[in-house]
Amino acid sequence: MTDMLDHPMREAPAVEKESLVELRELVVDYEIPGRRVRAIDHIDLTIHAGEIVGLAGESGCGKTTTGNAILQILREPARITNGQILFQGEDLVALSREQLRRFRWRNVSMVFQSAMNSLNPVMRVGDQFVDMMHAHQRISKRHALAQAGELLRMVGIDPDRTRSYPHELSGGMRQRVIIAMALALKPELVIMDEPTTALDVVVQREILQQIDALKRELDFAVLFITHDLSLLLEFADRIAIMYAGEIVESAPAAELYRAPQHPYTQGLMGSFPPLTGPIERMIGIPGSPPDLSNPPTGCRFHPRCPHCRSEDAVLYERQIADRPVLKPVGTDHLVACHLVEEGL
Amino acid sequence: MRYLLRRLGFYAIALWGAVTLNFLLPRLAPGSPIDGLMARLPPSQLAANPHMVENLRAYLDVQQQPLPQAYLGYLKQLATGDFGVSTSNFPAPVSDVIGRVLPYSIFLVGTAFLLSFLLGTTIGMIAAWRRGGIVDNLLTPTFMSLGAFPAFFSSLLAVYFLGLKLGWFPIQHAYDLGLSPGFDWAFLSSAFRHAQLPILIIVLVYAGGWLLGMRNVMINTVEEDYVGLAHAKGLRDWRVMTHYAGRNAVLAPLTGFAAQFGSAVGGLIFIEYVFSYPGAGLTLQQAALGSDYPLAQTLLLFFAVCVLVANLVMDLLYVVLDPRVRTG
Amino acid sequence: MSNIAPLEPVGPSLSDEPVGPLALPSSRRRRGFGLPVWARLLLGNRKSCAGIIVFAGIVGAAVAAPWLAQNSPTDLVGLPGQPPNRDFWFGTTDQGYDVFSQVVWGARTSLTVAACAAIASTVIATTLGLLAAYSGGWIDDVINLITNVFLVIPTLPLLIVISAFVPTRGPLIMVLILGFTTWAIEARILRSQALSIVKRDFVQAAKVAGEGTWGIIWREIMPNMVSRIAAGFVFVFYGSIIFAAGLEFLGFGDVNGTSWGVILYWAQNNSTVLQGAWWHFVFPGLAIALTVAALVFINYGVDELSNPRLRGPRRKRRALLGLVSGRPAVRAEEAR
Repeated sequence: MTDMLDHPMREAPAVEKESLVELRELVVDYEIPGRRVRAIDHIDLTIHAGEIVGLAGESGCGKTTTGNAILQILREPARITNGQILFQGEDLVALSREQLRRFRWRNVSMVFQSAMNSLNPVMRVGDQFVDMMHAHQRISKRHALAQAGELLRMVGIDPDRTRSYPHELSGGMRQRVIIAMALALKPELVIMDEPTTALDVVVQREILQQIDALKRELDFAVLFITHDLSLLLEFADRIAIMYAGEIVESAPAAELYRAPQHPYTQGLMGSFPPLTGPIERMIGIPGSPPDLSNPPTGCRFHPRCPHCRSEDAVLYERQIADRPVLKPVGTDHLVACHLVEEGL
Repeated sequence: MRYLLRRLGFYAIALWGAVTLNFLLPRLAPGSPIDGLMARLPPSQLAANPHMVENLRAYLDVQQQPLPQAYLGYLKQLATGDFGVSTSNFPAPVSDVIGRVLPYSIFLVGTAFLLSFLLGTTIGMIAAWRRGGIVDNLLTPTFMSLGAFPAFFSSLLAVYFLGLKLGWFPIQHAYDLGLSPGFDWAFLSSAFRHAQLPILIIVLVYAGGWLLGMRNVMINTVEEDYVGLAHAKGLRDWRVMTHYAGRNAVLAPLTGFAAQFGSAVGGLIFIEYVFSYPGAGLTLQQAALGSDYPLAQTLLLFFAVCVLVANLVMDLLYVVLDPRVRTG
Repeated sequence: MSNIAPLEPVGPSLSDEPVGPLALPSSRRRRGFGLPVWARLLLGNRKSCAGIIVFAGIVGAAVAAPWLAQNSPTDLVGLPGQPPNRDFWFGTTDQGYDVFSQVVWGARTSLTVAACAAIASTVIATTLGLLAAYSGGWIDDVINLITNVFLVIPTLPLLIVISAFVPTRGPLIMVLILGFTTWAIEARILRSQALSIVKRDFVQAAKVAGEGTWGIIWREIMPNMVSRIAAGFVFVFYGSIIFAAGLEFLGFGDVNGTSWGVILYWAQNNSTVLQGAWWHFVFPGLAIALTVAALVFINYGVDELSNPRLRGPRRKRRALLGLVSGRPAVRAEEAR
């Protein structure tokens, strides 16, 4: 596993930055008549200014819901039923509709999963930029279009393309348009939800390099949501691992790579083959993610955990009854696992 | 562009088909229409117009010329705008009669149908945007039930309640007796007043269909990513509803516009009949009852052409509204 | 209990295969409670069940006309212009006819005419639609052309003009006229449905085996489209009710006959509306509207037959079936 990646990883920034976004005890429920599915169960997450935080997990673990919750764009029947989302100290959950509207995009923006469908098919690309600018600032249309052109140039697209319709652009171009749009108002945080999943690897790399360059220029924080842990190990400063609506581990990328503590994280690490090095046997994670309308009691991972055995009676009792809580192990490294607590 | 040309070709063929059907109708009719017609005409009229019989014979031309020749002759007549002579308005040519009544119908159905489309789609858009809200819970079922009654029943109800009982609207004819058509204020305002109730009925009866169509598409459109993104961008709610969701959702019911137009023509006939509104619909009904075949058949052609024109306009509009159709 | 289970889709996740006319299993194979599958589904759906009840009531009233309406609709039985009262439930016309009798007896004519017209129209639509889909080539083109012409020409004006050319009036003529003009929409729909079936292997196999065109159409293709054809039939049925009544209203029916549209014709012609006799037109109009609404609702159920995705939650349906068949339909473990 040591030479899994072919170039060095980011080192965590040494300077202590102020927290930009803080999620405290956040709970999001999907309320369907007769059932309640808890998509996010009391999670805590902190994103600092200028930091790239990765949020990784399997499909359905709640990571997209987290991103949507921060921007407060959760669709019915999802609702935030507990907790706070603090942006620079201010609780977003308590904001009025108009305040939220002004907050969106200006301070926090988002790059959706599929850019293919993120652009209005009947409006020109430039007009969609203008729309957004008009919603947040007083600016003439001509001026706004000019700015839109500049933004396109910034992501490597010909500024004349503001007159194009979305269907006239390629997939990669559309993704870059979305990124340009997300940066238009120079937000402090950009949430990226699987921005490269739908693209081929070559374009993926280009897009990531683009984001990197833009970040160096504009200095925004990124919440990078993906199921591809290998991507995050290269790209992110800190990584949080999500499972079944909970955050089970969070650490700087280098630290996580060096010493993953949670059995789930270890399983994830063992799931992707190295590009170079000897061919090793891959160990996946048996089973499948739990049904969130009826999650396992206690530690949610226990049905699939290789360390959960009924022979260890006392430990087993705890694993199936008590929810593990995030506890620090080492600098900036949090893990929610009974085994780690016990020192195993 | 190719799309439009294809549609145009389709309409041309359909038009030819309609013309041919029109040509064949009198020849397919059992018995001899001319005899039936002759039986109805008062002898005085026959005596006064000896040429009428020949005209009619020539027009109906049942057993005289061989089919292909008659057909070509017919086509030539149509091309030159010669639609024959109206027997119920003898000796006025059919084109004159139609020219007199068609404007009223076009005004009525044009205004009313357009209004019903705008009203229905707007309410449908709002109803779907705020599902379970006041608009949805109140207006959707209201318009659905209004549209459930057949058009002629609704017009009778309207005439009775709104016209007779409440006296809010004039209920007969297109303008006050004593006035004559012209572009003066007195006539126009009277015409407008008389058109109100018929227009209102058409709007109420047909808006429900648009409402439902728009609402159903809109419910799905609301889930689209670009609507979510527009929302996330901090755009104002109504702007997202209209420019992002509505603009896309309206395309689907728009394609049904042309099909609905055919049904609206039917509704128009009933309404003109009930209100004695002197439009093409009432004229058709009376012409048919009075065996005025030239007039009736030409009106049928005109109605078909109107439907085709409506189709064409809709296709044009669609190209304007949906940029994806324009490329290839 | 195994009679019910295999029929319904298992759980909320249906397969991604396009659900077509094959969704209706052969009624010969599965029978439960003595009712064939389609009947149970129709009764299980709340909307179509309501529609069936109302429609059955109207048909029942029509059939029971001699006992229900003692007065003859064509006799002058009462003082003219009476509003509804104890003797004349729907009042009397301006001539003195019993409106209630007219509506009840008129139901016979209106329903029969519409049903026959719908049968004729459906037969034509099915024949042409399936033939066009199966044959392809110039046959398809010709049928398409004719269909398009009939679709483009607005129905009511066409009906009016045809009526003008046909001197006789009466139910039979009405059936013929309606049948020959209303088939186009269904023909188009059935054709596109049939196209997807024609491509399937069993049709190709039958073709190779030497079955003739009509044999394939009637034995292979049509049985798989029964529910769609049924939905189309119901659609043309209530359309025919409206068109027939409309034509009669405009004076193109048999004005001496008894049917809903003719009642309305006389109401309009004798200006009873303007005289304030609302009962003369409201009752026949309501009869028409009610019948049409019932048929529309029945069609909701028929739609479900051809598209299982539309089928509602199992519990409600089973409960109703339980009512119908007298056996408890909700199993213990489901009653959570």
